[in-house]
Amino acid sequence: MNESLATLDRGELDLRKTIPYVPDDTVTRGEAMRFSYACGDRPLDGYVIKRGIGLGGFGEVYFALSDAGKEVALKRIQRHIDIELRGVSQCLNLKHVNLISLWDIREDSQGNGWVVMEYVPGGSLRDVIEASRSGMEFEKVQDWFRGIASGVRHLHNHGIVHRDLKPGNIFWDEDERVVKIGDYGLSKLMSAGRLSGQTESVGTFHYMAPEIGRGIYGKEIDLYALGIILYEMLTGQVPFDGESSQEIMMKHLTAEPELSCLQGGVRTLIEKSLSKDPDRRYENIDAMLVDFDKCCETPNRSLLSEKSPESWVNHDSTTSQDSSQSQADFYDGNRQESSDVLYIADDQGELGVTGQSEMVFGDLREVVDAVPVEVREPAKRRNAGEPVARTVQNLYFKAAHHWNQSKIGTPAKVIILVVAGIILLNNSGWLVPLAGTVSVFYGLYLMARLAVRVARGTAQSAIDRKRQLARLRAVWTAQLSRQRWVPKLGELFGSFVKSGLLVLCLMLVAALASSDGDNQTAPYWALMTWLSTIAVTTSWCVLLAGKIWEKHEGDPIRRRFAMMVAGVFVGGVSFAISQYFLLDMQAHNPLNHRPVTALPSTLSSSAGQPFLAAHVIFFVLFFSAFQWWKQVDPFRKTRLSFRNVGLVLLGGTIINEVAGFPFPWMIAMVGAASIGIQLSAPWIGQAERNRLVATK
Amino acid sequence: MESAGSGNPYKLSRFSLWIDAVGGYLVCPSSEILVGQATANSNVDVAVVADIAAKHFRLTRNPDFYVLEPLADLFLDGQLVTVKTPLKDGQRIRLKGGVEFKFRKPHPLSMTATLDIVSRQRTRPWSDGILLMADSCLVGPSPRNHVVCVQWRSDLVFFRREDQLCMRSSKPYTVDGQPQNGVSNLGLNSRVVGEDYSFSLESVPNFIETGQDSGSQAN
Repeated sequence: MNESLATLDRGELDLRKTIPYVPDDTVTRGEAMRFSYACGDRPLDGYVIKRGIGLGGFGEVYFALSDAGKEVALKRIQRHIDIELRGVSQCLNLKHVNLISLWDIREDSQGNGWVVMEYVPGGSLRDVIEASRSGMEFEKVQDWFRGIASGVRHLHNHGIVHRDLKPGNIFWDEDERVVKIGDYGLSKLMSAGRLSGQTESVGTFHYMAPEIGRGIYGKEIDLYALGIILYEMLTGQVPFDGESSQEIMMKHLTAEPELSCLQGGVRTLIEKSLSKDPDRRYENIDAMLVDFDKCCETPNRSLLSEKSPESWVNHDSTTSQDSSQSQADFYDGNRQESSDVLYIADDQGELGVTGQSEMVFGDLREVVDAVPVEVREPAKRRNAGEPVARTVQNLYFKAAHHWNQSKIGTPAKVIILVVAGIILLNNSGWLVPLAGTVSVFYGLYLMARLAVRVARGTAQSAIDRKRQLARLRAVWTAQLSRQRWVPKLGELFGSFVKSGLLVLCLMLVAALASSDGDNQTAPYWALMTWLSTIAVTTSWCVLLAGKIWEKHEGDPIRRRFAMMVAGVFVGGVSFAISQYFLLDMQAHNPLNHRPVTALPSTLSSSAGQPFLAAHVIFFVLFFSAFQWWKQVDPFRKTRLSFRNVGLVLLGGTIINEVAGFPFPWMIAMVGAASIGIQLSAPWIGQAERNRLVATK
Repeated sequence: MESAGSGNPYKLSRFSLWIDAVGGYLVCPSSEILVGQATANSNVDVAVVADIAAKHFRLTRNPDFYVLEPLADLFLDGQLVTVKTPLKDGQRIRLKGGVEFKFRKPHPLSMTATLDIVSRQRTRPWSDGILLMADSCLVGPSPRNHVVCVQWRSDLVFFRREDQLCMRSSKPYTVDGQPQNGVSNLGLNSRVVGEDYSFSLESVPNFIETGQDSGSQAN
């Protein structure tokens, strides 16, 4: 048999033995599987164990053969034996083709309880659903649903609520070719214990009616689960899914199922079954089956959209998007108004058991913050609580809950409190400094967190500012387009003159600052002239480009390319002037650190004088490395940005190193050029911007 | 039974492979498998509790294909077969009395095949399926394995070294409580526990090994 065989409780493979209840729907691949008994063991007289079937909430389930050769499933009950076995004994004599037969309850020599039951060879509905991810075929859904409903009706007619209906508990018996429901009569404690369980896997919660959170376990919860199962069979997905159990429970409580993919009668049927209010669901299974039969009687075509004649499901490609959208809306709504959550909790506080509702309250609070971050837009994270405080708070809530719920009498509690107080006092010598240290660290952590959030907020405001600027620019451009070219040229030449003077002054200052008397020779000043000239040329190139581009924000790649062409030009100018002055690049190297061999022989002469190519490479890199147009953008944040100058200086240094251009003075040149460009380029001040906003 | 395992001089007797959470398999390492009715003293490799002939058909493993030899009426994919016929992956063998087998040779690199009773009659000893084990047999999550265990993280291989059954796994595991790595020998009643799986072997008396029925079955 090539398929891995699924048998009774096959779904119950989530195998963490140590937790109070191991859910069985989501099988965690690779979980360690530790069965207490192996092939050949005889823990229960008369049966020899052959293999484990699964590890479920109530212990291990084995396939065993009786001494006479009868195949059975043996379920070992390890906890709460009396309560659970009482539940089982109620069901012991139920006979129905759609229920897995319970045959006997036995006790082994160690006092463990064993439920002897029918072995069902075949897979679970979970396997079938997993094999048909976009929904099962119509006929199959009918077979399964009628089988399940029939079994559940039998249970309800005998006063038993299953409480744990889910695909992992429903099997297809390969021998009898019928649906079999398992694990009934075992779920009383399980359901109650779940709400506090932390380590449980998510799969268990997909089928839990909302009122279970309030400790209400009427047969309506089975009808709700049936609705979910029907939905899952038809669509391949559960209506309420999430990353954590709390998130799923939250959706059961508040979210509306996405039903747009379902047609006609089935849609109404599922909608009714999934009512949050148990009283608004079907009165009983028969009422549900009547509606279901109506759906089936209706000729299929009328139920279906034209797209999917073979099923009840309208597999619209937009469905998933819609649902994710509504999911996002759901989260968003929750996050913005935490009062919603409080409202829910309060609402339940009125209806539910006090202890339970307190529990729900705590859990729901957690839900709000436990909503997976991935679903939300980063910008929407702003209300997220501080996780350390939240964890501590949760722990406190849980501890308080256990304290209040525990069976310890009041005098004992008082004694415990007094003893604890004395212990604390006696140890205050080291506890107080420890608490101090912890709070210092926590304070530092809070500050770091605050800083990060402020930075994030700045990023947000940057986006807003960008949008605002785009609007401003549009207004300004509209005004500008009426401008003639003469004033434009005038403005440009004004900038040229300004930047030329500025750069020359800056270079002069730099030259004077670095001269130490003995180097004030003619070659030195020739060098300075060369540098100043190319600084001015650089600034003019950038200003010209900025003038052409000032109207709009263009494609950065194209602009960089245009700047590269300018770089070729400036590189040529630089080479020409250095040739004209016959500059000795090595002679006035103030840092004197760069060896002559830094440039490859193809780019420089043997004396270390760079060829044209070296000049061109440096300037092409230098021009294309920065977004120069931002330095001349009339809407730049400040007229002169020291950040931009710093960036250019840093980048120039790096390029100087990378390109191997031998003259460190180049860095002074780029700094001067950047400052000159920014100070001379037109800039629209705040007053002017306000005026633009007003004229808009 | 004439020249049993002519292609394989070593005898490894049948055993049951009980894989926890997966199923129980009757592993028949012989190169000739006789299928017949389960009776008080059946002398067949695969004894089926069904209304079929005491010895109904024989499967023979050749170096690169299996041969079906009908010993009583049977239909292969709906066609009555009376002579030795090569078997292909996925073919169905139907006997009278509503018994139907499905033959699979899922892995291209292993001659091991599987025989499932799709009509759900039980075998004796009890099994979910029959593994006709050649030199190696793959168990694990890959869909082409001889036993597909969807929950496992990695495959493991059973193979034989002469008449010794061995297993190989890339992850550490224990055999009868002894930690193992890579390849280890298995006894026919060993218990193997890996990090995400466990299984037991159970030896099965190999009737065919006695050889005393060799003459009587060639009807």
